[in-house]
Amino acid sequence: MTNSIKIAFRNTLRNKRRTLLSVLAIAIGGVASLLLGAFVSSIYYGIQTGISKDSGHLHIHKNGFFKYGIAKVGQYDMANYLDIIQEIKNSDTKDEISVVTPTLSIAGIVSNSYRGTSQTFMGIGLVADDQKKMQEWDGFGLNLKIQDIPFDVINDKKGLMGKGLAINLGMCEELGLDGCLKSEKNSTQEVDPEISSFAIDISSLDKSVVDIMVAPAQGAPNISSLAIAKVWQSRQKTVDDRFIAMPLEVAQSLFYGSDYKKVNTVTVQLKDVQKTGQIKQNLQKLFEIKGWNLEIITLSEFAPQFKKVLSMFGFIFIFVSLIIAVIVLFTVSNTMTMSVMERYKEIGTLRSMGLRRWGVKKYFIIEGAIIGVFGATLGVTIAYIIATTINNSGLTWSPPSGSDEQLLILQLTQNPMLIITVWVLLVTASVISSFLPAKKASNMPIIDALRYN
Amino acid sequence: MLETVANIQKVCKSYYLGKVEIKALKQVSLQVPSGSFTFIVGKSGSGKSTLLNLLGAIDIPTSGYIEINGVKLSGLNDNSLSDFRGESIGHIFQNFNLIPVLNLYENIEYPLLLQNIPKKERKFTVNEFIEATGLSGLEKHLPSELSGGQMQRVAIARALVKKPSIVLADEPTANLDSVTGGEIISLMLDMKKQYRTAFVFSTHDKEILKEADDIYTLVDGTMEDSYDK
Ligand SMILES: Nc1ncnc2c1ncn2[C@@H]1O[C@H](COP(=O)(O)OP(=O)(O)O)[C@@H](O)[C@H]1O
Ligand SMILES: [Mg+2]
Repeated sequence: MTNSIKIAFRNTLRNKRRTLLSVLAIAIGGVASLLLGAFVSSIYYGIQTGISKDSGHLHIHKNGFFKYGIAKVGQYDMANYLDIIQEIKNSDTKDEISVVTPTLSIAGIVSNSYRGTSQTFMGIGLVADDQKKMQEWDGFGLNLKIQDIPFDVINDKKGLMGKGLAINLGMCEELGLDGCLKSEKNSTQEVDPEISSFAIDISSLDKSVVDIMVAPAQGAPNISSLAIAKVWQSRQKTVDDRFIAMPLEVAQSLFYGSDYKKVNTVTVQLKDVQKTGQIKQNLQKLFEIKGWNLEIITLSEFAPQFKKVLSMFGFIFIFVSLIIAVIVLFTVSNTMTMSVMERYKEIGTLRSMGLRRWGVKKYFIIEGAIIGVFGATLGVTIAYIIATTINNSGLTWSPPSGSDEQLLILQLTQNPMLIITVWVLLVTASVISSFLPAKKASNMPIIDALRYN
Repeated sequence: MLETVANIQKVCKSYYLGKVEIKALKQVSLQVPSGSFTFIVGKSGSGKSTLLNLLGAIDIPTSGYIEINGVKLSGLNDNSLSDFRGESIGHIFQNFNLIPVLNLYENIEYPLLLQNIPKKERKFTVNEFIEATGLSGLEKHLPSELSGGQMQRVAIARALVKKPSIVLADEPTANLDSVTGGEIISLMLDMKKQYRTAFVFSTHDKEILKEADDIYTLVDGTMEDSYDK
């Protein structure tokens, strides 16, 4: 074998220019495939990190909420959510869990008395400290520079509003925004006394206070006032134009009045997203033992767009890689065919000395493997250099689904499977391209092979 | 006592160019005694190379019987035939056909590698043949750095290093000047005496015929009566 490698290696050096061409073709194919793969992988981990920060990994509801909760408001609430949270925090999976936090989704009308404006909104009542902790999640170690949602401003009677909603309510001046329509300024005089009488807490003429009206689980609408401490621009415009985050207690009192100790979701954020399935099972068992009729919705169910984006990029990656593989195959088999043809007489001589057909093929396979190994390794090296350079250059890009601009990070070294797969595929392609012409040569009658010069 | 190393009976060989049949050999019979010097003479195109290729087990007859070392060649599959060539048959070509990426030593060593001879034994045998063919000191040279005479000496050493029972040499001196050609022939004569190897040559060089034990003449693919020295 060492002798075969020696002979094959020397043969690769016979026509250096041609070998170099093959090596470069493989390397360039490798670079393209690896960089695309690294990019797709950073999209994969980037989007997943974003969702993990904002929404966690497991959503616990009363059974049926995920399907019917929108229509049957108030029927799928969990009164015992504090028990649920306590049980999870005490379970044997507690070490795998980073945050367990309750949320309550509400919807209604928000109005600004000072501006005389109103809008429908979608609100969420939350525990600000828990949400802040969730924003720190970095399970893939990406150290992404995504802007966190400023949950820290939420307390007592203060909330956070979507930038689009604030602009639509004309609250630019008080919240330091641009883009409000002129006519909505200074409209105090036009405020309808009837509407302003709804505002229970209008005593302070603080312009940043809004009134929130919600159709509750039962009975007449509840109204509460909420000071908007800050705006935050969501990645999605539909969310941005509707979104209000408020303390859980505010949402609860709006929706339930005095009977306010209920939520519709308990969000669990895991330390390791890979363990989602396993921990879901553990929790399901726990709930069964407790006799709680709860459902657990995972990330891929509550954020289905993630899978779609992923499969789209996965498809692009595979498609482009296939094209690259075909180009590599053609280039290498072309040069290999020439090398084989030039050596017909040698092949005939070796065969006349007693080399079997397989022995002839073996030389060319090893030759193809050597070229493949050099090309693939060169490709990995170049891709590594390019990826490192780009990652350190501070280039930014805007990922799909309307996210914020973020640093362009190519995840190559974090992805050894990608490197190994591409490397192996390139070497295999090179071996296959040399095998076919070698097969032809080894099957040739010896006297025909000997006649070539 | 003369043992027969190669026995050819009524062998025919036809080539086809499209539908045109070219009868290169017609009912040729021949016996090669072991340790003999046998010459095949004839004009260009008379079928000398064809006959040597059949004897050397690198071509298959259209009909007829070939036996080398008591082994019937038609009974062997391609791998067995390859192995048989590797053990029992040496080839010397008109154009030397050395392997260009191997140096002189490695070219001679190659047939022993094919037979998985251990390294120590290999080294000993190769050096023995380098010495016997007068090539000492040139071990590291590549074929491209050797003269025609030197290359044919390497080819002879390579053909004999595995100690075959028969060596086929198709016009081995055709690409050499007459002095070098004479040296090559006397080297082969030495080898024949030393290793008791049968040599079969094709040639149209009358000069070297005087060394022959047997001489056969081919005319248009048909064997004439034995040449009278
Ligand atoms: N591969 C082949 N295909 C077709 N005809 C061939 C082939 N090899 C040899 N011949 C023909 O067979 C005859 C004998 O050729 P060859 O054995 O090479 O003669 P020699 O070696 O005596 O010059 C010639 O007519 C030659 O043209
Ligand atoms: Mg000839």
